[in-house]
Amino acid sequence: VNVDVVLRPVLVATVAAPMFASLALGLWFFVRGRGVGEVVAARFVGVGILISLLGGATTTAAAFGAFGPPFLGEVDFGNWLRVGAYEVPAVFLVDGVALSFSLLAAALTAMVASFSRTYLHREPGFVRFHVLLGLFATGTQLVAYAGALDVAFAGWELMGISSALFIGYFFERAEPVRSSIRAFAIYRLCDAGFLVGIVATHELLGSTRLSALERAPSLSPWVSSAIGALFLVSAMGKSAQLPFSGWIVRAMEGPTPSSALFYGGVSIHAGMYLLLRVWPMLDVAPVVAAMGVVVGLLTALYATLVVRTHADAKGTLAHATLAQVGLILAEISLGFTALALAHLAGHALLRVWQYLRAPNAMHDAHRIGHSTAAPGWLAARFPALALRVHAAALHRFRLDEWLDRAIAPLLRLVRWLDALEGRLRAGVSLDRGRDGGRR
Amino acid sequence: MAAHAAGPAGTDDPIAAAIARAHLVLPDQGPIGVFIHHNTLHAYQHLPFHEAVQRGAAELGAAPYLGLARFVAAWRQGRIADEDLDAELRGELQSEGEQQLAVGGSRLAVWRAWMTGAHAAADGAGLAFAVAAGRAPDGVDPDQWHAAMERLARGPAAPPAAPPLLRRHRDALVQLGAADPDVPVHADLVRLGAAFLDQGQARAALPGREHGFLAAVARLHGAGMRAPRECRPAGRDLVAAVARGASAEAVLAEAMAALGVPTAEQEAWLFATALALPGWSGMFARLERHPGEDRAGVRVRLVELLAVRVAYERRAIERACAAAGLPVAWESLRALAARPAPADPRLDALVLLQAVAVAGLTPAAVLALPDAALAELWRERARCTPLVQARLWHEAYERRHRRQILDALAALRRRGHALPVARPRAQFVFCIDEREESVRRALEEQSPAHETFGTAGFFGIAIDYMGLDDDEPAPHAPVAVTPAHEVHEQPLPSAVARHARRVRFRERLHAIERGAAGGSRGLLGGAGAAILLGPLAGAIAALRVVAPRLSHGMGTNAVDSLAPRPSTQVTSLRAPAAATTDAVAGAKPIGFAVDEASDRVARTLENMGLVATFAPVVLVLGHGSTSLNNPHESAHDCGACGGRRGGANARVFAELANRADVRVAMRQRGVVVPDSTWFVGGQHDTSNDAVVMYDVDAVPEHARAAFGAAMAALEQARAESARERCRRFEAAPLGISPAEALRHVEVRAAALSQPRPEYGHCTNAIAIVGRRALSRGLHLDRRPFLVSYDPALDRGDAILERILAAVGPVGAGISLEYYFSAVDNGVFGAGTKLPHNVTGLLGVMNGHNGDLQTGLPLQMVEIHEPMRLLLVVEATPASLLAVAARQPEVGELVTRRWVQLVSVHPTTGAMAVLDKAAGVSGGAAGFVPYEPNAVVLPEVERSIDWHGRTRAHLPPALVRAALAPPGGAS
Repeated sequence: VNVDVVLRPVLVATVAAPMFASLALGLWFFVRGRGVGEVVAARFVGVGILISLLGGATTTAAAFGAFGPPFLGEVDFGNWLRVGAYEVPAVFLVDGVALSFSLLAAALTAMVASFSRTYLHREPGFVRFHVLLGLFATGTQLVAYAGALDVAFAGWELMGISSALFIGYFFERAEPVRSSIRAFAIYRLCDAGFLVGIVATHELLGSTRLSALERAPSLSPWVSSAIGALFLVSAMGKSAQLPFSGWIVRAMEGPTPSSALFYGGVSIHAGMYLLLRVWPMLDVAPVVAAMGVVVGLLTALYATLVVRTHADAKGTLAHATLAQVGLILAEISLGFTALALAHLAGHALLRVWQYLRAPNAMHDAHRIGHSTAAPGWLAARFPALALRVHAAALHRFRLDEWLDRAIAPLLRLVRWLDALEGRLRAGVSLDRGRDGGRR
Repeated sequence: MAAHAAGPAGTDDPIAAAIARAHLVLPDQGPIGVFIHHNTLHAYQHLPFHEAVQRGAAELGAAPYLGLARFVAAWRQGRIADEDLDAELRGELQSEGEQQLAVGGSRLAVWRAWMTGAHAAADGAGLAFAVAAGRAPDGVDPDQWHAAMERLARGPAAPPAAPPLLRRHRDALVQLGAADPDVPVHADLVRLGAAFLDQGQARAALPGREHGFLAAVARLHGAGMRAPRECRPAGRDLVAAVARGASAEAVLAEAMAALGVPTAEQEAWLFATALALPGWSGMFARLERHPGEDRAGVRVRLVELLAVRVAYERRAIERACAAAGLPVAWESLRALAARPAPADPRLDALVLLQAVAVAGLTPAAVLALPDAALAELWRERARCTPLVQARLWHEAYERRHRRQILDALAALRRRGHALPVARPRAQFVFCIDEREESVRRALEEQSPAHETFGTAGFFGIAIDYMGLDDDEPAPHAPVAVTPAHEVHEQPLPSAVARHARRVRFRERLHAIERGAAGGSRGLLGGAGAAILLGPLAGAIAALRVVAPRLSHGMGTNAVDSLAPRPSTQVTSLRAPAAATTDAVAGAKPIGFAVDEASDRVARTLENMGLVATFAPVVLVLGHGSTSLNNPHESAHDCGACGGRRGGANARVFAELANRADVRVAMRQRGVVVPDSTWFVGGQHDTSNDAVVMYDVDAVPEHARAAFGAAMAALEQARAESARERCRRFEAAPLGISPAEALRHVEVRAAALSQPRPEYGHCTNAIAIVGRRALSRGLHLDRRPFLVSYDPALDRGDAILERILAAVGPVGAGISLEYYFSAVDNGVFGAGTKLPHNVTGLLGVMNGHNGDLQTGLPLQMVEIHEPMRLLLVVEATPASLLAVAARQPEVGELVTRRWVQLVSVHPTTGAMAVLDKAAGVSGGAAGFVPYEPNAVVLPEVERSIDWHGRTRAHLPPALVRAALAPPGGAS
């Protein structure tokens, strides 16, 4: 196949169309204000997402040989950036894993966009919602097709910021804003791991291309473990694995469809996708893989316990989702990558559907009744322990408090540095009265 | 209403008094599966309307009326006329209105200027920015603005704003910028409360909840649960208190003592604390008063919730105070925080500016205003507060609407009617629901021989009904009525075997579905479901989202084809012998005896004035509403059936009315149903406008043709009605055809993504009690509850009393629920549906950890015009006052002006409005004659000609095709 003729524009359209639509819509809204109608807004972003979906389908067809010999591999667009020896390659990677994730994400996004068009009718934030949806769609496609870690990071950040803004969608109330900031902070914390991992990879392997990770066995076990751990941490943050699980239930503050798409479907699985991509690095870091198994299984256990005790539809779904993502993490860490991919895809489809019909809980209970589980063996054998577990699960093991405490020294350091900077600036600033006394 | 005692119920224990008051004031909404519309401020119903809404709103931190900006918008759109505003201002100011103020202009003109400019007065910074940016709002001249600012700088200053309302520690702490103790307290309380009250959503029930909330929470703490960091060591406090056998009241007293709340302040402090999380507190209170609604079988007490809450809150307050260096003792803390917010001179400038604009003062004249003129202006402004403005706007809003409707009724009467028909071809009986007005009009437009009636949608048949697929009987009756009978839907004898197969099949299927729903949320079950069922779920989801109407019912259709639904009958009449056997268990009798049946049927027919001139077929239609993803579905069902669907009642009514023995018994009462008349029961779905009729096979040969014709008429009418509804939905084009409209509403009812399956009672504003001739031929835009009542048949106002006693509270309940949810959707209503999270099968909360949201969601009230129900009754003022005196709740509603009562004289048609000055003992003098304006009504041939081109609210018009025969039986 002639990659230049067919695949380059298709890939660019797949990735960029939703964001292009979003930016155009956002710009228009900026100029026209409330004059932008719902139909126009939904159609703008809808077309962008549809192009993305069709692009993904076309690329898949090419991969199966629809346009000549089957095409799989890297598609190079030169360098984004070059500073001395450091270069950021703009490269996409087309392979089975990428195509699966791209199609899954695009299809789910298209479905949720179609759902939201009706669901958000007359909502004051209608245009904002759709602009963010477009940004998110581009973010997921960037992550999906990224042939280099830098490219993935760009998409990763788009997903993160749109996620945080969706959680804080109802910004006129305090709780969504608090929750949004919390999710954003966790993202930032864990993304720092990703960033350091990227720089380290470039430094040690000479490139951030995913293909360069094949050279990971040449690294010393210490180094590959350190880099692998950084990737693991960033995946744990995005996929709300322990100990970062506290934000996921707070993410239920947003509108139902965005909760479905992000925390049932695509965003919550993005961390797992990242690990599938950097698998060669984990493969040579058995310690990190073991950590992944432990974290995944603990998260699965934790979330399963929480599910049993919670009485709200969305909180229950959030933790049910978390439990499966924990299992997927364990599968990846054990090397069952194909199983993990199948588990991931099926799980995303199942949960999006369950989230979208979460408000139907009253109808369902009326139709089919509800069943409270009988007390398990734990309650029968060790009632005191069972009570203790129930109590802890009800409070989600006070995870956020532990996290806050762990992070407190860092916060103190940052505050001290901030104060120091203030003082230093006051010393050198010409108008010390105004700028120096910050806070 | 039991909710009359406003103050503490004769107790000097502050805790008991606060709890008693909280029980009255907290939202009185039960689990959301059955939604009963009621007066949101029921606790204040014994007070006059304005006093009640102002007091209630102040206690709950809500707005009593629409926002001023929305009134101004309504005024600009012509929903309020200048004439109405001036009339209300004249009524308020009397002769003072004409006095000239020193700033120029009469008092009335200055007040009007303030009111019509009220939309700009919200935000001083925004105003200043708009002026500086050259985009000053209407009525604000930049030069005058600067002059006003300059003049104000010299004083005298406007009086300072009222100090902030500080009711408990949290208010003071937030005012002082310290940590908000409610944040950690509510986070835990919501989770604990939800787990405690849960009616079946959590897989594992809260252990020990049968001991009550306080004991259960203490037990969890005893087992190692930790309170949030901000609230420690509240857990230890609770464990210790319960260990030494302290009651909830003792825990409260101890915590309040620790917080330095003096005894005299305790009631107010605790009452405010109970109202801090009104949804959850209200649910605890409601379930305490109605243990029957508590499916979890736990002992629910509000005081226990408050005990746990205050124990947590105490520690959170102590920590917040310690961190901020503030005193914990309530009076000291309050004194620190009780500083009024600084006045905003920019808003004062706007007040001045709007006043001087009346006389058109130049900037120089503004600068030269004497101090006395300003002082007078501030005094004036202190009288014309935003609250007073809102009240006046509200009255003007209602006045406009009232005049429009009454003038239209008078114009219709003046015009006279077409010739009568000898015998109507078909009679249609609907619920009084205003959503049926369009269907009735559509039927009447088709032929003068179509008669329609309205009566409370349980048709006088109060029953506990168990449908074929139900597990237990549920009351189908107005909430005030406790059914004395049960009725079951049963398979016909020939279909018993088929039914048994179906039951087995469905039980297995539902067990599988329950297993899948629960299992897919488990660990291994979830993995299996994801890998095996994920793709299927994705395919179903895509289908349901892309083609909701086509894919809706795929599942149920498949089930029905595998296990077909048998033909059924209702056990409406019980055999005489059965009476003795039923009495054994003390259970309610199943089915009615002949005399009970004839009594109920005859009564309902008398209520409607349908006692002679029966058509060959009488179609009786209950109603219900279908929607998906809608926890508030029950709010769209029939209020007269207690938030359930009225089809069963219609079916039973028709069955009873067709029985020969029942008809014989009715004849003795003077209700003669000829043998040539047949009743058929059915149900109208107000969401997708579907109509199903029951027991159609039983229609006898002689009525078949008439029934067929009536059904054809109904088929056309429901499509017309769907089209009329579609004009309100922006997603449906205005020129939509009836067939497309039906498709559109069917998609709405079947779509998971649809937060507005229907607009419900959104347009309710009127109730007309009287003969249909009073309003037949008027296009009333789906606004009126239409209650059939024939004063000519009513001796001693007995029927009127029955009707008003049933319809008054139901109609006022709906109207007031919509009123409050519309004026302050955040506090009285449930907010937008989008982040709603179904919790404990009890209700919805916002997001993961919010308060239970009571009232109606934004999507249900967004086009509602909040005003009091205009109750127009075809009866003399004397009759009405007599009924009001005998029926306390009706009396309260009309004399306290929760509804606007209008009398239409049965013979002369003279109208009189119960005036605001009327007291309970006002006598006929409370009514003030209403002189209608001689308006010429717009006339159209068909309804569609009137409403077909606009989505806006419509004034009444005359629909020629629907004009009725005069007076008589209808």
